Amino acid sequence: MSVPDYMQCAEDHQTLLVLVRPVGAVSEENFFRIYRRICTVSHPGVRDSQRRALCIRYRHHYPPENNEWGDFQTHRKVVGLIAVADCCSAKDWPQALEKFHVQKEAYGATLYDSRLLVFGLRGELAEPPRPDVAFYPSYDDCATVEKRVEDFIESLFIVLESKRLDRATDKSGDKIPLLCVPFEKKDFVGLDTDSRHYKKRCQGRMRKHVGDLCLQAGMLQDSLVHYHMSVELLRSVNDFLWLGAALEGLCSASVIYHYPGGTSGKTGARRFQGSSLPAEAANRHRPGAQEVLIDPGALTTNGINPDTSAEIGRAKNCLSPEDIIDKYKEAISYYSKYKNAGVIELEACVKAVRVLAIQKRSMEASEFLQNAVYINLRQLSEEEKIQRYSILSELYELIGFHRKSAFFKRVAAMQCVAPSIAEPGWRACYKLLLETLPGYSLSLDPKDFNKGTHRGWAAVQMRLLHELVYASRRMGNPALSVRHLSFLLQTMLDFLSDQEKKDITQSLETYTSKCPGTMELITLPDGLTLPPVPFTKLPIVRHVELLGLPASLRPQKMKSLLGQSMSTKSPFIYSPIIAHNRGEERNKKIDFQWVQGDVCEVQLMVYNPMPFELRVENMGLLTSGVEFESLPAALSLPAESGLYPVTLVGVPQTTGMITVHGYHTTVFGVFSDCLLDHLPGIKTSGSTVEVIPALPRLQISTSLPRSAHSLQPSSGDEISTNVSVQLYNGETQQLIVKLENIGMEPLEKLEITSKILTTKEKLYGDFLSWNLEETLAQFPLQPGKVATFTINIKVKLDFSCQENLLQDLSDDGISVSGFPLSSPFRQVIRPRVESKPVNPPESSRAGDFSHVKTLEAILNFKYSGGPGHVEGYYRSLSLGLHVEVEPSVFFTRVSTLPATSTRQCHLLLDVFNSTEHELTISARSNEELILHAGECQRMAIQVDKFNFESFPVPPGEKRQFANAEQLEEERREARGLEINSKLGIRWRVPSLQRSGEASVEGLLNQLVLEHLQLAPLQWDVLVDGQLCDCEAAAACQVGDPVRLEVRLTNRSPRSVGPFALTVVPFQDHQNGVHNYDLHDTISFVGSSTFYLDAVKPLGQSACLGALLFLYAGDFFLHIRFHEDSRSKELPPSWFCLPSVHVRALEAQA
Amino acid sequence: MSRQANRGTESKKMSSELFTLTYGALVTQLCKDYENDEDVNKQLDKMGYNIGVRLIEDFLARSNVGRCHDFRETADVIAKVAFKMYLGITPSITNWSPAGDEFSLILENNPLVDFVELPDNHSSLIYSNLLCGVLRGALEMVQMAVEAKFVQDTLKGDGVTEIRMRFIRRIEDNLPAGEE
Amino acid sequence: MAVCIAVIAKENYPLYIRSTPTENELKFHYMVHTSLDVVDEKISAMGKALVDQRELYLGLLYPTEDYKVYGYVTNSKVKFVMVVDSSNTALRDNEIRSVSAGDWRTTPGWWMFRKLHNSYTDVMCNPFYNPGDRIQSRAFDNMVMSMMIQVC
Repeated sequence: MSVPDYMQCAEDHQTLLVLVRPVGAVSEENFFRIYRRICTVSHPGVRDSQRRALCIRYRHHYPPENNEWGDFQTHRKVVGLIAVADCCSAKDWPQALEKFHVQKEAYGATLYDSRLLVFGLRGELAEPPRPDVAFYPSYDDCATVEKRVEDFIESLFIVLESKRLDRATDKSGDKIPLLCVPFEKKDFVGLDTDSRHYKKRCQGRMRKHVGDLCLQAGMLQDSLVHYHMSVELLRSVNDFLWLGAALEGLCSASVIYHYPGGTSGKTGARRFQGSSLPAEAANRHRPGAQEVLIDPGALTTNGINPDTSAEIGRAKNCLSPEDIIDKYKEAISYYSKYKNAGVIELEACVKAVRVLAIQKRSMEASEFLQNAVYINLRQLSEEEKIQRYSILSELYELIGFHRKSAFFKRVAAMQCVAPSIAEPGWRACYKLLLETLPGYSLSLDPKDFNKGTHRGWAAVQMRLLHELVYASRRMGNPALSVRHLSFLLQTMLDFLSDQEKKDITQSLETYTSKCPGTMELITLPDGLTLPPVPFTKLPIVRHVELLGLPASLRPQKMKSLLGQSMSTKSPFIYSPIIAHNRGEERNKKIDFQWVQGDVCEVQLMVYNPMPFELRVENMGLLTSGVEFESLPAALSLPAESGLYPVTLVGVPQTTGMITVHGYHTTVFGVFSDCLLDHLPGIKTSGSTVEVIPALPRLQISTSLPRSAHSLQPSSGDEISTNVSVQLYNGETQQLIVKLENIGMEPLEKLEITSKILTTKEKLYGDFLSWNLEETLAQFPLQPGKVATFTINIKVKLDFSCQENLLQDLSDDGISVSGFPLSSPFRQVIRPRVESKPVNPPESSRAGDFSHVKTLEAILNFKYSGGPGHVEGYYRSLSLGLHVEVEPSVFFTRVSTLPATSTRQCHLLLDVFNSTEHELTISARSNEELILHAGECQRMAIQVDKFNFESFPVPPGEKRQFANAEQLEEERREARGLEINSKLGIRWRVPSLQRSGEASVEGLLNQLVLEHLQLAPLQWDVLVDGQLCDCEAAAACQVGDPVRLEVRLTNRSPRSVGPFALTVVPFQDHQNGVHNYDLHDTISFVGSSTFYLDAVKPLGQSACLGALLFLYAGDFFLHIRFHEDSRSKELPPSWFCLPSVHVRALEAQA
Repeated sequence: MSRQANRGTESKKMSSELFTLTYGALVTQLCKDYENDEDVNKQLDKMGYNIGVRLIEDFLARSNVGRCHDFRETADVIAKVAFKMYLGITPSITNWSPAGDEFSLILENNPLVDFVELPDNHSSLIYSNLLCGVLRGALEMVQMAVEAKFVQDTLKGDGVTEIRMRFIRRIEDNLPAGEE
Repeated sequence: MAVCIAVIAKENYPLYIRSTPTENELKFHYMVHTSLDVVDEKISAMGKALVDQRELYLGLLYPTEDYKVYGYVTNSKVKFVMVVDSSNTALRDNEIRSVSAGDWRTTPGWWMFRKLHNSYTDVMCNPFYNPGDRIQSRAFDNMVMSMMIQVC
């Protein structure tokens, strides 16, 4: 016997072997239809008083040489034959019958009975019906097949029963034939058949045989007794092979008793006897089984009691579960003595293992299996080897040795494709390899490998993966091999040597050139699915950050009354819990927006773990929520690179919330979708961002050169363009800004604001001014269209040089007393020119003059349009303006000089040209003054005094500057402005063709202002009722009394006076001599002293007197206040009365 | 009172493994927190310094050593008393510089590094740098500015561990006026 | 004498595996891997009976034609597996007997495992070693190599 039946179980010892064979041409399909129906009749109840059960084992194939061992163990004997024949017509019948007989011949020695089932005929044969043949018209019309089989089995039982009784009742005195196994036959030739030893041997073997028959006939107890007896007999004659068989019989019977559910592992499927036993009881020991021991009295060595069951208790003689194993061990040790009994030994091992598996005694089971592994059968065919390894694997699995099971399964798989096999079974190999995966704790889902470093049997797992790759490739499924290879590369990367990495990627590239790797789920025919393997480690991504649009394109929400731009989740301004929340920030919304139609960026920090350059193609973003046009990138990372920044871009096509889930790549021809959620150790700062509707895009270009000079950093202002210009102080320049709509949406709104960056410099006037109306008239600006916009830049910094400006105006002799008499310059009407030596250039003063000042401003263009505008968004573009202000002129000194009229005065300005060019300066319509570079000259400007009190102060401002100091400052500035506008000083550099204004605003101090101010007490002197102020002399006739009236108008907020005034006439001899001795020439009509009453605010008062000129001539009247009457607390400038010039003419006759 | 009583020269027994593991946990945590080894070395030195400035009081109270007259005496006290007291080892003193302002402490066995094996990516880590900080801090409190650094380390494959000590200067007590 | 020494984590994956000669390393991987079936079985079978002991010498796990595989498990369920050449006489089969007799502490196998265990403890105490990671300690390596060479 050479073909082991690895599926055999202990309980198979009780079965009758029935062979079902097709005869003639029967299609496989039809045969198995009938075969399956026959198989359902496996436990037919036998109508018998003892309610015995029969078990049938059907086979459709059985090697005849195994049949030869039928005497050794009767369950190996084919006792029944059911032949299935196909007859289309009656003509076929004889042939079918012939073949049936041939089949019967083959197993004839052991057959108890046989049947032929003929399909296709309807009994139209002339022959008389035979009991062993049944006719059915077709495979579909054979309802009585099962009944036939039952009847057949009943007939088998009858034969079995008769044989059992026949053998059992053999008298001990009769000659008992020696049963033997095929290989023994030659050994017994010529032996003394009469020897006691021989007889005992015959007896023992026969007992064993009877035990087998009893077991088959369902008489378990009887069989146990016979086996026990047989063991005793055979042990005494050292008939080891049969002793082993007897022991095994004993084991089998005990197993059947203890484990009615069977040991094959297929609980209840095949072995279930009736339905009386609940399923869970199947594997349990029968209670009390062990306690019943063999009754020694029942064991006689010399005779077989025909009815042993009557004497022995029900469960007696049955082995305990432990004993079963011991007896199996013993039996196997006897079998092992015979090389030819290898199959028997092997099968016994397998049977014992199954029993041990039920008993959950894995260690001992493994020992039996270990033994089975070492049993050397004859040279096995490759197929048998596969079967053997598979069954070993199955058995190891059965006892819970999953790793060992996987090992043998893998060996079986390799056997399928052994080089000696002509047609390697790659498919089978692959299937078996897949089954080993659990044993090596290997899942084919890359998600299971996401948690840090892989912990497992990398070496063996890698080997297995390599084998899967190879098998799937040979199987002709390139997609599968690509998947496995990708998986190997992705999950085992840490364990691969540099050379392996190279090799694997090379083969992967070769495979994918024919069949690119996809992200599709691969479903195998047996239902196993292979999830896609994204290459999240090629390259490794460490950090993902969504980038906002550049400042100039960043959309901003117009402030509405309802929506607070900053919505805080927590009522607390600061919470440490939020600040330190390092956890799930991944799906946090980001506080900037992307704009539909505009390119958006996501930055990834990646590195290449491979020892060679890694080419990543088609790298793009995976998003959801918004239609997104990804613009994939291709990159090449050097070997084992450090962190590399990679920017992935795309354009959102619709609006809404967009979530960046990950990225896709193509590496080595494998497409990967890498989801951020599955990446270990990745840092992201949120992946969801809002996409708002499209907005126009504005591009600005200016008439000024761009500057590399960046403005001082100030919060929130990101400047897109910087321009710079150099101007002289006081100069004005136009900045022409070209506005181009380079977006896809019309530009509908534009708003321009400017912000002057904080500067130490005091700036006078409007630095930047513009008129938007003209530009807005060109709106809406369609895409591609250009509009222009003009800005005036006027730089007017302080023209004083503070430290040099002399505060004391009287130091060069200029009187401030208000008495024109004392002024040597009172006659100067046109600007007075006085050259001064040029200051030495090395002096500190010169350094200050040449100091270039800087002004910086930001022009902010807020614009909107299109659907984004409807949604309330705008964009803002900032233009940085950098102005370098070079000094033009300085007023090194300022002073005033009273003019002849009290309503006027002279402003004296020392002007210094700090440019390197010749410069002209003029005030109002006055003629130009030429200043050479570095020259300083004095210019005098006659100005009307100012009535500052009359300047209107806007009520709104007044409230704003409640602070008195501020108010005063404001007022001062307003005065400065007023004065400056009146002066209108302009300079011009002819060589550069540049000009500008010069402002005195910064250098007017309190004292100067006071002088320039129209006194609140307005004194008017009227001569003959005519207002007398200016140079023009009032004419009068000699001899006529001239009426003189002094009027006081009080514009001050307080009441003034009373005053006493004395009129002092004098003559100016134009040579510096004033002649006051005029008593003979002029006489007063009345008193020369005038008295004025106190004047209330806004009140007016006048006093009258008269003069009489006795001679003709030019006279001046000096009206003098009496010392005591002049209020000391009032400034002297308030008492500035006009000088009166009277020309007395000879009376015309 | 009890605290006072405990301050004797005899030291209480404690598991050296717990001590070593505690120090190890400290160093590895620093390695996690600071990305480069130089920063870790600095931190260890700083921690050591802070230990040193406190430990000196305990040391003086327990050891009853008096004022040292020269640097050689200081070296002896450090090696024979301080190391013995706190680490249970007595390093040897060698390699005096001719000027007598530098010497080496040779540690045959450094209890801080039991079990420790430096991984390749921490090759510039000075694992026991805390000791240098302790020495520096402690000596500073007794008016000695010193520099201490590891010049050999068994962790780096050297045969012994060597701490090089260099005397820099005496620190003058800047007592406020009137406190003298 | 030992041809392969492996340290297996509680979760049954290798923390360390080294064999001589190195050319057929994979064979030993398979051998150690399958031996874990026996280790598991032995642990679960003996389990509670020996819970109060510090360690568990599992003795011979299984013999193959050329090798014998021995096992040892700590109370923290870390396993040590040692593959010994069958021709080696140092670990005699009588060791199995002494194990079953309960005085396995006297066996050379036990002593080797004790050495291994101590060395492993040192590895665990290295602050730079993260429990569960592969063992890359030079000291452990050297100790293992010495055990593979020496005849005890």
